[in-house]
Amino acid sequence: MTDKNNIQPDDLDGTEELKSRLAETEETLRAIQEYMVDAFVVNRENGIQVVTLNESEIPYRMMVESMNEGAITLIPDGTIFYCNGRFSEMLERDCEKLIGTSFQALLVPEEKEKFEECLYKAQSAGRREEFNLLNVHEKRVPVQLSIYQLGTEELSGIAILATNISERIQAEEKIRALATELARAEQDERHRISQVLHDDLQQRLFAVKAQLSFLKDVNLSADSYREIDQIQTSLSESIAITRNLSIDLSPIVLQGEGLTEAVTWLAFRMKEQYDLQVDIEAKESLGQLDYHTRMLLFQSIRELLFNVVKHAGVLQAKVAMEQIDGRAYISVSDEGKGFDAETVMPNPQAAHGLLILRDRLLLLGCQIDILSKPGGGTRIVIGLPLERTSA
Amino acid sequence: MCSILLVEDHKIMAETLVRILRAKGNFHVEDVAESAEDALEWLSERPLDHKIDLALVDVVLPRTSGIELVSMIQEKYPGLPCLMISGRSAGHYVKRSLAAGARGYVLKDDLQEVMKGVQLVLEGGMYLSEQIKDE
Repeated sequence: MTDKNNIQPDDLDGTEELKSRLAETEETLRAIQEYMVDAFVVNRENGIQVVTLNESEIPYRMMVESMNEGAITLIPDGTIFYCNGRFSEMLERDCEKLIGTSFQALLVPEEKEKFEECLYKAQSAGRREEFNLLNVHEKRVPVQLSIYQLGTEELSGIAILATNISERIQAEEKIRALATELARAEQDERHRISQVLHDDLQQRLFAVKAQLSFLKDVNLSADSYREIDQIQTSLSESIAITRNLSIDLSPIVLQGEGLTEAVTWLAFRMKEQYDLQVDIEAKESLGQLDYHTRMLLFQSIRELLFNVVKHAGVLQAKVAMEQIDGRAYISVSDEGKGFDAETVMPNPQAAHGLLILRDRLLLLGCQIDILSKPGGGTRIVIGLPLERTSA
Repeated sequence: MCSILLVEDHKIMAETLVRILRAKGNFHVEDVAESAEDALEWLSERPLDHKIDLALVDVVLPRTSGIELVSMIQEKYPGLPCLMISGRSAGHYVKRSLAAGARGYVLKDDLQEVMKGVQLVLEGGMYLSEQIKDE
């Protein structure tokens, strides 16, 4: 834009020039009205200055006010400098009352420390984390916060975008509930089949084997006697198969008090069947876990011990159980071949069994950490909240 | 002849045990109860001068388990020895049975062990199947 501000009326000496200036002024006004101008330069007594137009912020303001996410700016100490209407709706709090208050005061107490850490890390790169904010009724509103550092050292601040994730959390809870139900149904079915095997089929086999012994009392030829012996041997093998199958489907020891007892029994079985020496370090009995959770953990530990047998190239493993801050941690480790977890885990073919196990545990609210490197052994840690008390 | 109350819910298994106990050990099975409740009722109706010598109890029974039954028998009839019989060799069951007052634990798939167990408990001893001892 050209500077015409210092023209004096005396200088106007021609209509053409006036028309030209009027046209130019009208064009400038139109540009301003249509938001095509953000700022213009003026020559004032104290020098040239850039003047911004308030109206130029309108499109941005409209966008920020109408978007579905909450938008907040904080000054460095965490005081809310600005928040949009969506954010105030999200928390059912008055927008004007929010401005000037501490953002940290909106967080649930147990997440304040995590937020401070997040703010600190956001100084170097944007962060995205999930938190729970408190609405006006002090009810939790789960949100995902995207946190960015704004401006320079002279004019610093923090920008936050808040997305309400209540629906997603509810959907996840439903999926988790369904997965739990499915796992329970599977366990119940395994238990039912195990009972049929033990309570009926096995009893019939015992009876038949016993009844055969009566035939031996009759005067038999040596050949017939041998035949009966062979039948009894076959029946003993059948009994052993049904017994093992019944136990594998639903280990009766799990009906006992604690997971430790079940793992001790499992260690005995692994030694007997695969010559795998399993050392158990149980700081806690984890006796408060309900049957279905015990079953899930037991199956997971068994699966991981099978993996040691199949892949680790060693015949020694360790199972450790402990309780820290209301969570149970169960680790299965070995000092065998190990594998490159970063390469193997994303590969569905290579990590098939572990991925199924991981998905199953995650769906049921557990966490699983897989630590392994080639030649450095493997350590897999399962963690879960201990609120799963006896059902 | 020693008399035994057999508590076993599986009919075929019960019939076989009755026959074997009689034929191979000369033991008389007075009656078969199919549940813990039936066993307790039978014992309560038994005249005092017709005592039995042993209760041979299956570990897994409908409703009240065999282990719970042993516990109740020990409370009401302290002089009556109980021997557990089972298809399962879990140490967990064995420990609980002995804690409840059972005088032994034998596995169904080895009849010689069953006979040996019955004989020893009747003589006042205790008996565990060899397989259980190994574990």
